[in-house]
Amino acid sequence: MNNLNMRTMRLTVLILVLVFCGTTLFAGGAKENPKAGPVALRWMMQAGTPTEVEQWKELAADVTKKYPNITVTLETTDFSSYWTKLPAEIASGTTADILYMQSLRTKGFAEKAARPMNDYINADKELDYKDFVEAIMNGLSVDGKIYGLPYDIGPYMLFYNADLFDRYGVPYPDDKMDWRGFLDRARKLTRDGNYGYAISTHFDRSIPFIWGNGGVFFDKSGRYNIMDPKTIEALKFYHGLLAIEKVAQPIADTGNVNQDRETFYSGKAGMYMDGPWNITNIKRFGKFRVGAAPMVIGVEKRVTPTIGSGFMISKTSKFPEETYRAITVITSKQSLEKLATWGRALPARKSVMSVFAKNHSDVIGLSQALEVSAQPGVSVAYEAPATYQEAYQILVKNLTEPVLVGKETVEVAAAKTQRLLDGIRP
Amino acid sequence: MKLRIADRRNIRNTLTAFAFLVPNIVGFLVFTALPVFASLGISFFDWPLLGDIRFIGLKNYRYLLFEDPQFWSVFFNTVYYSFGYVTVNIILAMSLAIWLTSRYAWKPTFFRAIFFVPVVTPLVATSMIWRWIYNPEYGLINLILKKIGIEGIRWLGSAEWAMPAIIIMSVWQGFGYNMVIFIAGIQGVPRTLLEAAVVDGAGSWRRFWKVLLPLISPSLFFATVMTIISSFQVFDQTLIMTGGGPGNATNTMVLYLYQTGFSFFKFGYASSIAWTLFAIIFLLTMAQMKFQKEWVHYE
Repeated sequence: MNNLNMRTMRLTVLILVLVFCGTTLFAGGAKENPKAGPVALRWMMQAGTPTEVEQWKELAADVTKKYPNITVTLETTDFSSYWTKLPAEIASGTTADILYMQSLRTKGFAEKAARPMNDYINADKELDYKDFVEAIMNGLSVDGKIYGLPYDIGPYMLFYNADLFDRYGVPYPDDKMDWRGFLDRARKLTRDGNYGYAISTHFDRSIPFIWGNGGVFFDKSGRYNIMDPKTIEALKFYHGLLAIEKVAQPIADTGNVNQDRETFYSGKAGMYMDGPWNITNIKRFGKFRVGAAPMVIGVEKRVTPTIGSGFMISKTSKFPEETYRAITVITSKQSLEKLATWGRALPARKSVMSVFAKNHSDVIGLSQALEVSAQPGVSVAYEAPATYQEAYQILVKNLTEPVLVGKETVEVAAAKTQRLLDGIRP
Repeated sequence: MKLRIADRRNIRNTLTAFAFLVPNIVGFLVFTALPVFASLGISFFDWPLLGDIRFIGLKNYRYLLFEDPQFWSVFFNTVYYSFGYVTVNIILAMSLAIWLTSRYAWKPTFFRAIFFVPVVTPLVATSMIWRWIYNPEYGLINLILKKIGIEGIRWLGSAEWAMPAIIIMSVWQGFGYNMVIFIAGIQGVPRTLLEAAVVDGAGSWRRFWKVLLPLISPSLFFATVMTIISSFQVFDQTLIMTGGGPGNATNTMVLYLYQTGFSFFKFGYASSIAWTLFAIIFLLTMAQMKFQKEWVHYE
């Protein structure tokens, strides 16, 4: 090849390489004119199974059915990873348009991530705002600003394996069951490789026992106190199910946060604690008759934390109005009826709440469990301080896990944990 | 002054080479160098990710080294992991390398490949599989132990056994790399030297210790330094298999750094942990470089 051809070839390659670099460096999202045509929205959601993903995709498609110019693309991640991904995206300004939010975490995220919806709601003649359950609307609001429309409300309840209870002749859990009755049933079910209760490493599962015993482990100012005697007593009872009574399954590994659910699905545990949002998975994976009961009556009272979830308009969304419209579809009566039918959510709309129990009448005692859980004073909105994410990690790693694996007693672990909680910098 | 033809050709060649390197250089600068130096700067700030950033000087480092109740246990966990992993890895890799290059080797090509496969398997996937292998009820290890009449161990559910379990899994995953390095080193040793040692009456252990090991000491030095550096950065296994638990039994420095940044949203403090880790690894490596002349023999 002669010199001229070589020179031409090198020049061509050089130009191609520089063009490639240029497009890589300067490529970014195409700027869109919101007024000119179709709108594509991103929806960031947490989902634990492919079943749930398909359910949310159907709701995303419903948005397009009502508003043909709006398409919603679902992006999912598992629950734990969602709380890592969300703040990273907020900080980098790359959040999706529609954001999932839990009521208990709203204080920590709403003002930084979302736009208030008050103006949109006030101008919306179609929205039946009063149909939403007030407790969860309050949970998704901060200082009077509404940041999200809810889709579900969820008191913690007890689910049980009715077949296992029948096999050993143990009476089903009911609304009169207190700590003693609960422990008694768990003991009778723990035999032949089965366990009475599937215990979790989530600290939140001990809260009904703490509150039921009259303990309060955080106050309105955000200060944590787990050394309160009533809290210690409740923690000893709950963790003692494994550590002392051995009526709960041993912890196989602390990397799996769904161990309690998996143990229950496998049919090897008589009872476990969860919310109505997981009925879809319980019925799919559990090959046995399922029952539901309200939370165990504590020494002082029956109380269960209630959490709800909803969707927010991202602060960085270029299409806030379209995003609001999409959220109204996803939280509409029709959508919540679907979620209720699938067993994915106890609807946060009063008009369709009964659909949930009606469609899952095969879950023994569900209707009554929901009724009891909805009684005044039983379901208490779980509003955690803004530093709860850090506190939760400290509680799990320094209290729940060491006690459940038998490394430390509750008293020793609680004292160490309290020192760490006192050191949380706001 | 007119450039000579040769000079013009040189300039053209240089520019062409540079043009091909530009994508890599730009990528390196933007995605590696810039974030690394930015994190050094961030370590002098209090940055809660979703709040205002505030200059605090050396406070993060002071808190880390003198006030953080968790740091030193995390540091000692990392040293525990590193010591266990490096020791077992090097001994196993060397032993298998000697076997595969000896006359007693059986199907050496096949076994070399088999032992290397875990190295190229994604660590996330192997961590998830090993989580099941270690399952106390259904896992393969406890099933085998049960068959031979030994009571199974809680493995990842035990504060005492979780770290050894992670070390075992890490050795399985990583020893093949060092084994290949040692094989290359052993194959570079002139056979005549080993034969001469046989003629002089040296037994196998003396031949290994006095002849072979000094001659492959450069390979051993390289493998040891690289393995120590990577062991201090253990993360995937601890995140997936135990989440740093039970309790903080397997919480290591990089996992703690990750939790500090992405769970607690303290990016300034997380950056200070990162740079402290860098300093520790740097000092360890420098110490090894300094003492290598005591035992590493270069031809």
